[in-house]
Amino acid sequence: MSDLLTVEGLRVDYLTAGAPFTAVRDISFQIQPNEILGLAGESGCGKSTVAYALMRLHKPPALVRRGQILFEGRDVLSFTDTQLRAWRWSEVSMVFQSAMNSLNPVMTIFRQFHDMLRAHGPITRADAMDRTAEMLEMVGIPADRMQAHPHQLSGGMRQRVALALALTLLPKLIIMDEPTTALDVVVQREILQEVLRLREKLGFSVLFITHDIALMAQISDRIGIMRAGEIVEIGTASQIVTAPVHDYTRSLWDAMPILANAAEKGPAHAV
Amino acid sequence: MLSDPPILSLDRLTKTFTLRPIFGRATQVEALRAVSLDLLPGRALALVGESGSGKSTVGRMIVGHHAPTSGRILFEGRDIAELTRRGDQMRYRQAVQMVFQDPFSALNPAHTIRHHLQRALSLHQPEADPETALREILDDVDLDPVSTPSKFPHELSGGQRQRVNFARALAVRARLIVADEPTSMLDVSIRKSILALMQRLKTEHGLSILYITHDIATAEYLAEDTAVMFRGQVVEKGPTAQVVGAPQHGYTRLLRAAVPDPSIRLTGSDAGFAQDARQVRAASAAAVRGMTEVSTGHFIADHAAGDHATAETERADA
Repeated sequence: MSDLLTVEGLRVDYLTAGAPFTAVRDISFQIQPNEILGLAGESGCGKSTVAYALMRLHKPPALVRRGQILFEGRDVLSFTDTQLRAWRWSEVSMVFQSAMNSLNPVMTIFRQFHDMLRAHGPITRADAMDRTAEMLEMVGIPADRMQAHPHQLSGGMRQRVALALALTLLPKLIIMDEPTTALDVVVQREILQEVLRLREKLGFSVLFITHDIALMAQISDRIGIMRAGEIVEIGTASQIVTAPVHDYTRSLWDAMPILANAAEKGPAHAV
Repeated sequence: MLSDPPILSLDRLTKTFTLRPIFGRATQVEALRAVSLDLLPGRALALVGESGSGKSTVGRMIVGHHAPTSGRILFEGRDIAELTRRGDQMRYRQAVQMVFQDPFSALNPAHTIRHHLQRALSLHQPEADPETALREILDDVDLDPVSTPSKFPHELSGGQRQRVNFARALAVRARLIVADEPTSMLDVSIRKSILALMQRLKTEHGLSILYITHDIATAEYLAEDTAVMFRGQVVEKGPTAQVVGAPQHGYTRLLRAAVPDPSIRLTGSDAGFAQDARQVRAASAAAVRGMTEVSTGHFIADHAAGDHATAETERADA
């Protein structure tokens, strides 16, 4: 199978007054169609910088120094602004770390969908409404809430709206940067199961970025562990869980307080 | 241990906030509904719940940021609202210290660590030699006693800053620390070491800790007792081994089941969880009529209207 996304020797520097700071050091990885790749690491390891660079959302002083990003064989780094605008959201979308704050507070939910839909092709208001209703129901929000403003929704609902927005144009890849960090565990679980259900239905790939490797192990197919701008280990989720090779991966696991009897007393519903 | 009188008791503590928007009507938010808890000396009580459950409000009321709407806070048997003499108030404020979630904003960026700690030391331990006391206290929280004092907060990592905050509580000889999510803004790899520090302060210094968290796994690590809050009410409380190990209330079970467990793969076809979550939330939000003791010291809430029982049955069928 050919890769959906290929990253080859990507290096991202932050220009500073002194020597440039290399946030991402020549990393390479691939994402297959319909795959969830997890990228784990501590704050400052460069994982969010990777996400931003992939969508070419990085801004100065961040600078892609070398490397290649191929999306279905097309070179993303050479896209023109027009190509980029068409590519973002329709083929790759992103759910941000504070997705609940990434919605525009003075626009209704519907207007935010409408804006995005219009930017990607002609659409009538009625059609946009139908599409918004369909997407909101898909993530478990009653369609009539499209007339609400973001502050009238709970944090979990706003996160679902952000997810619905990211899915509306049926992208092939969704980059999720700490999508559930601000939510409590019950809501987090509900949203991630929604993501998995939608992936089965729609068949997109996900680059899932978080510092919570236990959570990542539950949903990713493969996991890459990042430290100081490098991927120190990459493997299948079960290998990273049961047989981590790199010392740093092992130290991440050791640092996690994990419920003592979690394994024997598995919750009734998770299989 | 159990025969010791509690160092802190909350007695049917209620807090109602009135929101007055610029336009429209004022609305009442019941942040706490009749919360009763006991914290025993030299032990840690974990207060677990989702955001908005009222757990931080409890902490802030204990340190006096909010006054109760009704109910009492008893410190060593005395209602803190009745501490009218200045000396008594000072003693209470000294004995009870708070450690906040954000280690970055809790320290003054313009002052060194020496300044932060020596102010506290000179006020509360005037008899001690300031430099020796400073070194001892830094040693107690595993910070380098030689290089740390002259540093400014920005020169320390989040974990080190959080250690300074604990050192400050030690400097004033606190007996109860209210720690509100002290590890949630820190990197995963250092969270455990901060938990270990709290564990040690508890066993070596006999400090009591009210540990406010949304992370039930860390509660198990640190606390002897756990209380679970939902929508401003305590729904389950008792020894952590029972509450976290064998939860009885629907909401605690839900919370327990949702903790990420790397050995369990999630799939999209598990619609049961979301359905359960909705039912359990609806049932657990109903007013608590009383608590039933299911085993020694382990209580679960009885909710009004009996819909909690229904949800439990449906859960079992699912």
